[in-house]
Amino acid sequence: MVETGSISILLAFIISVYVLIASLYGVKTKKWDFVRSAENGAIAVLFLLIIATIALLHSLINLDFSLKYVALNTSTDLAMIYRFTSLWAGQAGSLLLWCLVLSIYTAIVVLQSRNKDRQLMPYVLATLATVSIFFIGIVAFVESPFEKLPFMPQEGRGLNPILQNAYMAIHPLTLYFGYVGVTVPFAFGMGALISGKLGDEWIRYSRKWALFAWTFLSIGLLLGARWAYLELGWGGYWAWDPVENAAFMPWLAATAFIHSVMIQEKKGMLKKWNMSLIIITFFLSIFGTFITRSGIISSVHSFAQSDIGPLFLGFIAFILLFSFGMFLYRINDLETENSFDSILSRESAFIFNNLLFLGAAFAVFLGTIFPILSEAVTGNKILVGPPYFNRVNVPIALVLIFLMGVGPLISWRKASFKNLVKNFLYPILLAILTVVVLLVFGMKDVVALISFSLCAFVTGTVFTEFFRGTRVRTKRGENFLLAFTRLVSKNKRRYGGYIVHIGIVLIVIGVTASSVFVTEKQATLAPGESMELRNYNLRFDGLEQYTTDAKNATIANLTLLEGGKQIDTIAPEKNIYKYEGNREINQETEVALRSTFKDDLYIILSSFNEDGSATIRVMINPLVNWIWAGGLVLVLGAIVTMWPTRSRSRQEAFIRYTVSDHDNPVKAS
Amino acid sequence: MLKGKLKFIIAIAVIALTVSYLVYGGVKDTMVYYLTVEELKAQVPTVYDSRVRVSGMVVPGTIMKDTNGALEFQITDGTQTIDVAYEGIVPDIFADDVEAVVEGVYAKNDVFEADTLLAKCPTKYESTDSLYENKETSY
Amino acid sequence: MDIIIILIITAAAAIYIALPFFIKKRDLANETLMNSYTNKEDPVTEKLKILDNKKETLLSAIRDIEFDYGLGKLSKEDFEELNNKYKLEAASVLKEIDEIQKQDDRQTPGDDIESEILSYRKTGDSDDTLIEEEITAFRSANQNNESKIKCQNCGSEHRAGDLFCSKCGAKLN
Repeated sequence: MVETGSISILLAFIISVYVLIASLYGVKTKKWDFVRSAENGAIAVLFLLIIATIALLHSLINLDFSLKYVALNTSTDLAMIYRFTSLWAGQAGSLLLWCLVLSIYTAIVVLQSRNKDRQLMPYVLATLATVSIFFIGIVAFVESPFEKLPFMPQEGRGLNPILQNAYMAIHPLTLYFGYVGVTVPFAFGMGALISGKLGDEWIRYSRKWALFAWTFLSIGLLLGARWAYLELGWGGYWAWDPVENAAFMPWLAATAFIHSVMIQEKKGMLKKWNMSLIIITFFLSIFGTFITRSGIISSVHSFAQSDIGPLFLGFIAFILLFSFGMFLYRINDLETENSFDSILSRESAFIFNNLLFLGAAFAVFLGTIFPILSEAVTGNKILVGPPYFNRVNVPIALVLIFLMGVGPLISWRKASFKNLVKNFLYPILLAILTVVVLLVFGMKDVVALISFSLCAFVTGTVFTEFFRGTRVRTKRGENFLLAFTRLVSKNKRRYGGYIVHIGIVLIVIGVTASSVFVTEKQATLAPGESMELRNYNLRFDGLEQYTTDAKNATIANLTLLEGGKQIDTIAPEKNIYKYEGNREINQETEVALRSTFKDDLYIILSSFNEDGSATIRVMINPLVNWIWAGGLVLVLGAIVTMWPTRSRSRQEAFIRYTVSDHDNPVKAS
Repeated sequence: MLKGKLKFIIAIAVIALTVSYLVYGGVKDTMVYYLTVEELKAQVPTVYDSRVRVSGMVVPGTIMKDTNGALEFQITDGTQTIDVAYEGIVPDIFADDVEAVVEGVYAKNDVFEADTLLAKCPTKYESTDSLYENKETSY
Repeated sequence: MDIIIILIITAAAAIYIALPFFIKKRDLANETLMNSYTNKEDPVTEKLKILDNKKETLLSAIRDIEFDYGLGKLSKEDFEELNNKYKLEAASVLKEIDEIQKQDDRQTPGDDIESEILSYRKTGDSDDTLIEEEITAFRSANQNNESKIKCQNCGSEHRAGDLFCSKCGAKLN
């Protein structure tokens, strides 16, 4: 199996090179069999990488420690599910996964567009092949998961216990689906630039793929946050760590892209801007992979450090030079068809949204590479920490939320002042009401007040939209539910987008509450003693120990009381993994979490002493669950948006017909 | 038309300037020097009372924990050593010989008062050294 | 064992990739396929495609403002101004398309649209809620107070300013 795997990767590399050459040669000389052969090649690459992945999984599951990758990432006591997920726990395996996902996408692109857009597709395929060549090349020649050890260890090093978590098991997977997904719209952009087919095809394909990638990036970010929250034990979910930023930057740029692409679709404007945005998004996605994989910027959870850094840098430089070179070459073909009509219009709201997202991406980028940058310029390594990111991003985020509320209610092209007042009256009243209510309840934090009132404002506008649309339909005799579902299903993109916005609002509420109103307390308690926190009372009942094959665990038994009444028992753990001479990390603090929609009680057993006392650290994080709930709403909205629509030809035919009929009378008058 | 365009340019410029200002202000107010122990010692009089981040290996046997969770230990870069005092969450991998990163203030009594403690052992992570410890004897 | 699997995989991949070179004859017979391959040399199709994109953009813009107007986001004056502007633009694009198609009389996608309209006229008001119905609904709901006119052909109600019946296509006045 091992030989089959490594030869498959080698073959996949050779075929990818062939795909690149054959598709370019085919389209240049109009020998279309070459293009079709290249397309078959792309599908062959997918099958070869599937074989390689199965081979590696086979070794992982059967614990073939003669492979370095298996020995480093598994051990005999590792549960079956984590033997499977250790496929993406280490460097080489993750890169193989990268290649596999890319080849899946490439195959989908090929199958979707067989015999369509012949001038564009060969170049799209060539771009995808180029990216494949780079990543498969790394897996084949630099970081092979099938590398053998010169000896046969009896035991592997095992999977880092903090990675043994259901969220961590799927978080990298979703993130990769997002990261790699960005490659596809980029490839369409490149295809359009190289072929000169800068019409609407590439935008249509790119928009869908970008939305898809964006959804997976969002899921990946949220799962990563959830993992950090549950496992890292410091009570937060986001630390502006380079590895987190690595995924956040392409997300920001992709968010800008999926908004501005609508303007190009509808108005034929912003062509240069969209092209640059997709290049930047792809760059940030590769750069993110580079940061995560090379360990160049020291991070708490940089799981890898290796010599693939220079290769990545070379590849990034190549991408940037080539794509912006092509961009400049075609710049005259990217002229705008229309112009802006008014600054008070949805278009301009989109422009500002884009600038802000890009500004945020730039700020995060700068903050992330600041240590490297400062060392190169001044010779001193200077860091900017979470305060920097918060200071820059919080104001930007607040303005973006404001725009999110404004966007849906102002019209394309031109919004008149009178309409603005009429449309925004209720949402603004709702926002003011929120501020008043919160002030009455004694909330004094200015940022939180602004944030919550903006959230109320956005919720107001979105519900106004839903309400108005539904009301119009109910007036035609449809019942409310039918009217509502028809409204959404007839305008999936519009209303799906609003649902995503509601998801974002929930996330923002959760983030605001849990970052502004944290209560934290630490105390050393003897059995029977208790500590007070807000309206809770936490009683320590004593320590308990148990042992399994893998670990020795110590539990602190705690009873939670609210208003004198017992409401729950809580047991944070501290685990010592049985040391077998080859593990780096053998201690793990298991957080006890009591999670409700009102707040999370986050309890850590910091340390315990011989006299039976324990140091307990407790945090009350309000509304954290809103973040995860918001994530679910966001995914729901994204699914609605992407749900395939039946053929539009009928509707187009009708509009064409009304317009051509309109034509004569209008001219006559 | 020209007037409309001008409005846009002004609006865009305002956004660009605001973002730049936020970035500039953010960097200026929150930047922290990342030093090795030796560099810290070299800047001794001037470095007092300013926030810095220092990394070094934890000197084996120096970790002292009191019952309230407060921690004292020493870190070294091989040539120089400093005392660190810390209170807060201790990372699971924090132990003797681990590379620790601390952020805080170097006080005049030559104790580094840290409010952030990170620990990492990345250099060993992908290495195979540890596997040799229990390789098959027949090899 | 591994050697055999590797050989099989390699052979299978090679055959699959080489396949298009051996079965090309059948594909050459496929005319529409060849059309799609060679459309670069054809400036007429190229131009039509550009115009078609332009048309699409305008049509979706019209749909947008009608939707926005229906929801009360656009004032009547603004809507009419923009609507007329777009419709005139769309009309000139359509005229251009028609002229090109007249000069170059061969099968074009335009014919499909014409037949689509015919079939639409026949089916009339099917249960498949069509966009026109939606727009009409938005309009009528939004302008309950405004004066209405009836279509003399089919009897459906319309706004006073409408130029034609959106149900049956007859002119209104």
